[in-house]
Amino acid sequence: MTTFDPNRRQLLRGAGAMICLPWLETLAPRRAPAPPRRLCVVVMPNGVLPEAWNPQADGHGGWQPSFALAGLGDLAGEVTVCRHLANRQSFDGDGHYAKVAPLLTGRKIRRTGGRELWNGVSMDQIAARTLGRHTPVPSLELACDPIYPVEDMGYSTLYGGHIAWAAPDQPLARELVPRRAFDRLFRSAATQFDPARQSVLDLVRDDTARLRRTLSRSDQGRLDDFAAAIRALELRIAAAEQRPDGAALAAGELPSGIPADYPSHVGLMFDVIELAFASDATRVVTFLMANEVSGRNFAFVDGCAGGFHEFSHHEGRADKQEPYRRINRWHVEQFRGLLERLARHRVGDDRVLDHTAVVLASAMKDGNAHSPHDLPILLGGGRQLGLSPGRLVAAPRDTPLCRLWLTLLQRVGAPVDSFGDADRPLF
Amino acid sequence: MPAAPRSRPAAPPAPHRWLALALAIAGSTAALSSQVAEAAHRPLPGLFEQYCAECHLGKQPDGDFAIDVALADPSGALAERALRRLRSRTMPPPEASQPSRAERRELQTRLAERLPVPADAGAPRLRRLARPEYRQAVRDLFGADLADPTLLPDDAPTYGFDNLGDGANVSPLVFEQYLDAATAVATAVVGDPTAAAVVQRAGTPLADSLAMLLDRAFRQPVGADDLDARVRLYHAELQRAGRDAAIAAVVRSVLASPRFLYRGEADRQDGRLSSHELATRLAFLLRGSLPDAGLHAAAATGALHEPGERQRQARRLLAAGGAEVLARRFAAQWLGFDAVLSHNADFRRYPEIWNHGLRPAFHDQALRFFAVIAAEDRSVLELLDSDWTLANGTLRKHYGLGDGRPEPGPGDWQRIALRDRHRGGVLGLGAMLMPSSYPLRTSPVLRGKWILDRLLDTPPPPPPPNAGILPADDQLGDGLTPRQRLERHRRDRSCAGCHAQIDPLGFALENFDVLGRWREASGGVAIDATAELPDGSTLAGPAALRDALLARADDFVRAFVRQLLVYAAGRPLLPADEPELLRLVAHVERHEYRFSAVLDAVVGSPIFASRQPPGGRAAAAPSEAPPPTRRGDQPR
Repeated sequence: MTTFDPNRRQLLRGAGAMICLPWLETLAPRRAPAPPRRLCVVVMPNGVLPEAWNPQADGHGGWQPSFALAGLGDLAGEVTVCRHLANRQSFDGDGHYAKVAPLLTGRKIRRTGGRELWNGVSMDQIAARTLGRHTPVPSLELACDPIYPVEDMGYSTLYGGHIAWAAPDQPLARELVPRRAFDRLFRSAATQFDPARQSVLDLVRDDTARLRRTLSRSDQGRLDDFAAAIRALELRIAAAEQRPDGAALAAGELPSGIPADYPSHVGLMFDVIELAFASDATRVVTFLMANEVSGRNFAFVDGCAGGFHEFSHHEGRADKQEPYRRINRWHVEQFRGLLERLARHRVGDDRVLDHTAVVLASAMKDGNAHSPHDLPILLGGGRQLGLSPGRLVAAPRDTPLCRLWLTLLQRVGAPVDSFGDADRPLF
Repeated sequence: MPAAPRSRPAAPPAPHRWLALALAIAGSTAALSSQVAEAAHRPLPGLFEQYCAECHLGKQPDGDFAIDVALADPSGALAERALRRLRSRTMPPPEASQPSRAERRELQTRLAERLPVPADAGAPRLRRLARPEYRQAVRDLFGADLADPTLLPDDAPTYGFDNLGDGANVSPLVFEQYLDAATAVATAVVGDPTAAAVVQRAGTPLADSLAMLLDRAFRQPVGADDLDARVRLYHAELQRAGRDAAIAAVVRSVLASPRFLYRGEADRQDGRLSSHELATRLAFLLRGSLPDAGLHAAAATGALHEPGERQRQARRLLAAGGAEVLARRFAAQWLGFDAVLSHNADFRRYPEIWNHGLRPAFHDQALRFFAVIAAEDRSVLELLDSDWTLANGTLRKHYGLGDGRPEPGPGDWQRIALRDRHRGGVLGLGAMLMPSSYPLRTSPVLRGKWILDRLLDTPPPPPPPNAGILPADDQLGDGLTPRQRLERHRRDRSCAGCHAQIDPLGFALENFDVLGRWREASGGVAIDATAELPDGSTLAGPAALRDALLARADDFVRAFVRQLLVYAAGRPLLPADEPELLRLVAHVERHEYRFSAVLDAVVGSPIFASRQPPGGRAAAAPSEAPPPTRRGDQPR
């Protein structure tokens, strides 16, 4: 389906091994530590066609592939399908944005064109508070689309492009360029030897204090964040010095910009996730495959020339449902590619995949109705986290989605006993 | 571009005062402790004792944050910090025992009581330079296009513009990107002798040379101690690694500084802006960049507080390239022209989208059209209807405006007198007609919504939750034209109310195809561009639509002025701004709708010249988040 340059792929494979080995063999403490637990959430826009998505139970606790889920192929056994989960906080918000922004927070977002954005803290960030302590980058936020200045139904487009929220008013900036995400994890201008850097940072910090003094209260909060970001960079530099020399990695073959074709872009982002996990550069990743309401032309999938969002409003017509469900399956196929990547790497006797909870989700079910019920949720990997993949988890209608998030948080080791509107885990 | 005349401020306060200030700025509770020592000795409310005191009490509290001091701090700043951490569930930390819901509410209430009424409700939020602004500012500073905008963080658009402050928060990634971008520019500066000479000008003392750079970059005269810090950095690096390193370090320290990256406006009781802040607003409006020498000079005299002087400067800048800047920065966002660059039609059915850079030509045409109206001080109603348009060879052929001459290259832009009323105004532009279509068909709904949203500022209400579902009716198969299907849709009463307003406007443009070409038929069926408006009158084709819009010139001018004010002043307009807005519309009408009248109205308005919305601070509180009231007496 995707077209990769084999040379580049091999290079990335090699790079992964290079980072991996020194850590495992030389840096790992003598007493074998518990293998790192990881969390990865991939979100696809515009919902799915229910008839093409919903699998039948197989009578043994598992599921039989539907049209879309057939895209998982031989990795179906690594994936649990969750049914009837819903984020009740998104029921009465209009349009797409009011659903995707709270997908991982379980909160109701404030309707605003930009002033006083308000959401919750997303579950990946809760996980990063625990898992992020051990890695140079606490969490990685990836996306494919820049954010254009539009407002949809009174909601700022910032809501439509952000799933990771560090604080209710703080959506996290996303990396769009695979090469730059790679640099941030492994080399990064920021962590190279740079004798002038500290003096420069000191001066910038002084400027921050100087400017802050004159500003209004809320503007001062912005500069507090700025000062915190300076500090975070210093911490990351200090941590990077303890790690193998990332500069030795040749990433020269990675394209420097955003790849022109979308399948390659998505594939490269999955490569970055694979490398990040295999080398333990971070343990928490979110990836927004496209901003909500994406009208991307899927002409690269047979029979799907036309806008994704328009197809999602299929009006019950077969000529729109067909491309819609093919696009759904394409997303599942990509997800399979990610699982496959994570299955390639081993930690002791286990695969990285077995210690990673990998989620594919959309913030709505039927795109035609903007339905918030029975969200399409796949849960891959996590065999060693007790997630017992391969099951069909059929919850009662409108079971809080946050119960699944709570399950995952607990399984990756976050010390929480409630999240959003969930006070007990799903399983 | 020459630097502004020097005017070094008086000597800075004595060092110990700076020290005290710096401590206060740092928000450290230690610095406040003398003020509130007495209060701090009183007993803590029980819940704070239970959940906060273990770490945040005593002489060396965690994070230099003591809860007792926070509760006694008269400014409320520390209480707000605590409240933010509490609400964002970052405190108490996840490992610690958590307050119950009721307890959390109690804690929040106690903290909220400490907050003053937000002094800046309704005021603009701190604005960050958008990518194009950063790039242009670097070009202004160093005389060369040295910044790679793709290295910069994503812009965070709110209220339809990329440079308002509401969404521009900072995460570690954002700061890293700024530092990386600054480092890249610094490397480029060192490699460009002319640019490097901006940092260390030949024959100029280093301090003076740096002062010129800093004044421009930070948009106001900097103090002597700011200057000294950079001079010290320069010398330290010079000694360590030579001149190139010294120049690079200074450039990095300037471009990664929040004083460059943010358009800070001081918080004053009356919301007034300083003259340098006014100069900065004018500069970003009309230059898309830092103030030029003329604005620096005007700011130094204080003249910009006079509306007349602002208008004079605005017209000067408009003549000096401001028309193009407004087109590229403001109009492109207001009217959504940039969308055409990335919009797709289905290339199998519309292979013409690859012709001679059609989409860039659409984009270019739209910006040029707006810029001509601005530069020639034409009537802004020509945006609705004009008897001319602009086209290059590609577009003359595409639109069928050719006059028989051999086809010239794509760079050959001409003004074309129109013989009919098909093409005039923005409604005849490919940059409007193409992005409001789907890949395979036009959309009267999107086009109608575009007109209501952008030109009239009367956005239709959002569709009800189940919108988008047409009744499952097999007659809605392929046999029906989109128009028939939409009319069917409108029979549904829950849809009819809004679509009766939206659709006729779009139907009137049905003669324009997905690529904005004129057509008389589609799929063998003659185009019917007639539609009935809710009031019973009919609207037949684009000429009638233009007449209908011209009849609503007031609404259009209000939309234009409002958007320009949002963009210039950096805040959404509130109901309390409406009287002033209507006054400005009347001004534009009195001056024959000239473009200059719009500009005069905007830069002359108190909305532009102040951070504070009318009606005072309390009146401007956002409705969804009522400001916490401050209890006057001590609750304990």
